[in-house]
Amino acid sequence: MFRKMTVLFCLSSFLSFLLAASSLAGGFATSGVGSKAVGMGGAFRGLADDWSAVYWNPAGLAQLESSEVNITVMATSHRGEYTPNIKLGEGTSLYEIGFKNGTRWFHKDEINVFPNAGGFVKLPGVKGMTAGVGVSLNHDLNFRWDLFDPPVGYNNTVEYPEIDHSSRLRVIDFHPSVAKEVVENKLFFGGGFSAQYCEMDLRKTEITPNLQLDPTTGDTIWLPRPLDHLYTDVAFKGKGWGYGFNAGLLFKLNPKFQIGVSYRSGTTVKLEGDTKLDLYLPENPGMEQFFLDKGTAEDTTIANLFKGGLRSTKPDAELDLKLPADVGVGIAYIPNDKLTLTADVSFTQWDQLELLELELEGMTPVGDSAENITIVTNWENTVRFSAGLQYVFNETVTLRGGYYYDPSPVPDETLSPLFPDVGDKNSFNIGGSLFFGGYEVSYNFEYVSSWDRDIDTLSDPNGDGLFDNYTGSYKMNSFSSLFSLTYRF
Amino acid sequence: MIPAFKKLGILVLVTGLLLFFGCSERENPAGPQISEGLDYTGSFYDSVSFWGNLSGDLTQRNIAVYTPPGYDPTNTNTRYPTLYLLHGFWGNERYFLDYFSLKEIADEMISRGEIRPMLIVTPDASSKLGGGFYTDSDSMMTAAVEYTVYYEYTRYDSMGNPAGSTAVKDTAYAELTFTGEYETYIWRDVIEQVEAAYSAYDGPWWEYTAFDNLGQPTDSVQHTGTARDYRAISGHSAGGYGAMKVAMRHPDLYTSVSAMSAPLSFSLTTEHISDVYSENGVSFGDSAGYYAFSPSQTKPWTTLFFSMGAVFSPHSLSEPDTTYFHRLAPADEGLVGVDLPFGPDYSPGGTLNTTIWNKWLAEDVTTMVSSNPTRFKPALDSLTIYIDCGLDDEMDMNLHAEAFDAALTNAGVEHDSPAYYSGYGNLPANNFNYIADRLRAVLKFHSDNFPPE
Repeated sequence: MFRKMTVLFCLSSFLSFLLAASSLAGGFATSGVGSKAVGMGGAFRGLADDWSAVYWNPAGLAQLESSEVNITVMATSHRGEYTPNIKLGEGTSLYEIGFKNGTRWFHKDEINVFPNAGGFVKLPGVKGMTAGVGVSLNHDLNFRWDLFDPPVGYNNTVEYPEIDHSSRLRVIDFHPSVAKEVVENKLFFGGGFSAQYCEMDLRKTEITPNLQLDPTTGDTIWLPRPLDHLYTDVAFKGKGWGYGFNAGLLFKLNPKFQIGVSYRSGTTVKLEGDTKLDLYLPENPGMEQFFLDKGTAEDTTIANLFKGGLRSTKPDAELDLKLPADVGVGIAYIPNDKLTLTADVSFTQWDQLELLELELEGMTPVGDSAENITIVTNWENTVRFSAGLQYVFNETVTLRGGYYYDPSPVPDETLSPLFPDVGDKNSFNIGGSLFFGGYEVSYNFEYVSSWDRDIDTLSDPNGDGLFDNYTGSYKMNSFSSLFSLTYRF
Repeated sequence: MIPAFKKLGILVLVTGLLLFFGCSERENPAGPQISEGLDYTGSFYDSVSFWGNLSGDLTQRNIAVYTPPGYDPTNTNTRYPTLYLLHGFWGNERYFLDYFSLKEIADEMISRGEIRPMLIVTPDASSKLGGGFYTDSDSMMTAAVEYTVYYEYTRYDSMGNPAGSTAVKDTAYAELTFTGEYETYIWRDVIEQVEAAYSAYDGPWWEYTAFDNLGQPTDSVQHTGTARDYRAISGHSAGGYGAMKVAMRHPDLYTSVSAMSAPLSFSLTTEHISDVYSENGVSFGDSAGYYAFSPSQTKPWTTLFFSMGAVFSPHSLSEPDTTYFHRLAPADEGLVGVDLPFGPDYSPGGTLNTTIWNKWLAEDVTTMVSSNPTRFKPALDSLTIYIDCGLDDEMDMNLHAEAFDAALTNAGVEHDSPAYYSGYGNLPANNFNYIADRLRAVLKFHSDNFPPE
């Protein structure tokens, strides 16, 4: 038996590596935690009858009669496409600024593997009390794109990096929980503490106006295109911790019908790290000589900006990442021993994420004090609808299916390939479990289809003169694979 | 009967294999391979067009030539169409290459197949006053002056190194001019030099004759072949004006002409006479101040008017009336300077000196079309024309384009309307800022008008 379980677990883990999963729900949240819950479309608040209740509704832990431990392997990748169409100007006067417009680009296809684990025990000596713990990946993002090269005529002498836009985010939730049966077999309450460790990398091209002032007159010197902008490769790396909690109630109206409600608090993760600023300078002998001919020391400094080359600095950086609060209610209908039907609706407060502000401490490549770099997000709250079913064939085999609809919190005015939650999502799940003694081996396959999105207009919602969205056409579909092994005792 | 465990295992395995192929790594398109051409700058020989110029400007001028990727100077069987691209005021032969990345833009467009491979020639037409305005300056004297010159026809290898030359020493005669014969330089000397040294489509278009000391012809060279369809001319600002004028007067030499942000209607420049006064801190009616007008780098409109005066209305050395005269040389050199078309008693809206102003208008392309459609309509009909201008041009060149457009329409010349473009953000669509982008449109225009490869 153990040998069979080992073989099956290893085989399925291998397949999980192959079957890239991009379970992107709203924003950068994963589809959820636990193969059973995910397999039922995340409609689990009203059921919450395995270890993943620590995430969905901790009250559910108290209804269970046995203890259990679980390990889950998630393999993730995404299938996104982006066709840039970013130009400045309007009408027939549109100008390229270096984005590789008109061509469909794929981000780097990578398979990311991460284990989740969790479990709970019935506490001896404390009637109706259950303590559990979960370690799960609640938020995940990994996109790397080649979208940009300085425009022809800028003549950067150092080659621009191939991967110029990337976003990588992992939020690992360490989540101890307790749950108590408040009214025997009727009402259950639970709560948990959340310590979230986050690692984040962000990389983008910062396009800034190259405005020079005449040192003598103070007048603005207009530089001809494409010298009117400077191009800096900005790469932030940071890590940190955030803390929160969740709580829930589960009410069993009768043996066939139960309802659950849970709340998960928002978290502010304080990321600390640094930001590499690589300024790619243009080579333009004409402008270099123009400023040298003016003769002042300040003009000579400006002239040096047209000699090509690369200037780099690495100021310290901090960023507060606000993860949203979430509240939801779910129902479970269990008409008989074989069939379970569930449905959930949840509200996620994504509007806490208005912007990502990189607070820099240090110098820029041109010798000024580094100013903050702002990525405007202005995300919007979302309501997700989920439905699931479970059918128990026999003692050994159980099948599950689920669906959820999850809107995108990202408005047109801030959508970019860095956070490509491009459209409202429809997720289809199918999976099942095999039971052998105290062991349960589960597998779940998920397909998430996002609505395509076309963005036509560049936007600058914070009015800083820099556009905050990337116009063009976006597509995103995802395949998901999740395998888990649970032992009950 | 297959156990449940095995059934599930088979299902997982099959699904996994199917999805493995569905999740295979996707390939992004490879970027275009940009092949590089070469740009070479050098002087070929003393141009007779500049001999004896009283301004003291160089007689031996540089020409920059862009050769496309794959150009082999040893292969004379492969010929390339040629675009002559004229710089603007205060420019020189490196204008488009050093400021506006002409080579990089041409390399990319040729590599992507957007334009056909071509030679692009940018000659030096500068002067001490900012430029010769692509005009043959008036003769200052009636007698010819003897000069001895050296001719060298040179071919170059792919690294721009001379690969062989033929040197000739000869003697010829030229009349003195104030600034030089910039128009003749463009349509005769530059074409001759380029087509002798590069694999361009060439001739027939001129016959050069050298003279002995009695003024008798001693030698001539005649080019053969038909090159008009493979020759185009363009320019920016004053260069656009020069291109249009040269093409109008020599339609047998060029198949297409374009002008970027160009002064195509001189009557519109009179609105800026007041700028000359304000730059010099002079009030209208202040005669002493009027005669103290002096061009300098900090007085752009003053310099422009003096430069145009030097080309269009240099003061005749034998003309005693100095009412409109402004000196440009020490007094012991005589009355060397320019006659401006407005006098010391000028006031806004006032009249100009008709004699002097008519000299300017004789070189104004809008006036040329309007006053002599019999001559210029056939010339313009034979050319394909492109004009563009920014809507924020600080010298109102967009109004010049409108005026020339109207003149063409009134003359019954079929042509496309000028392309007016706007800017973005804080970068106005002035005379200078968007040239790198407009060059793309100009190169495409001329490429499309050459015969197919």
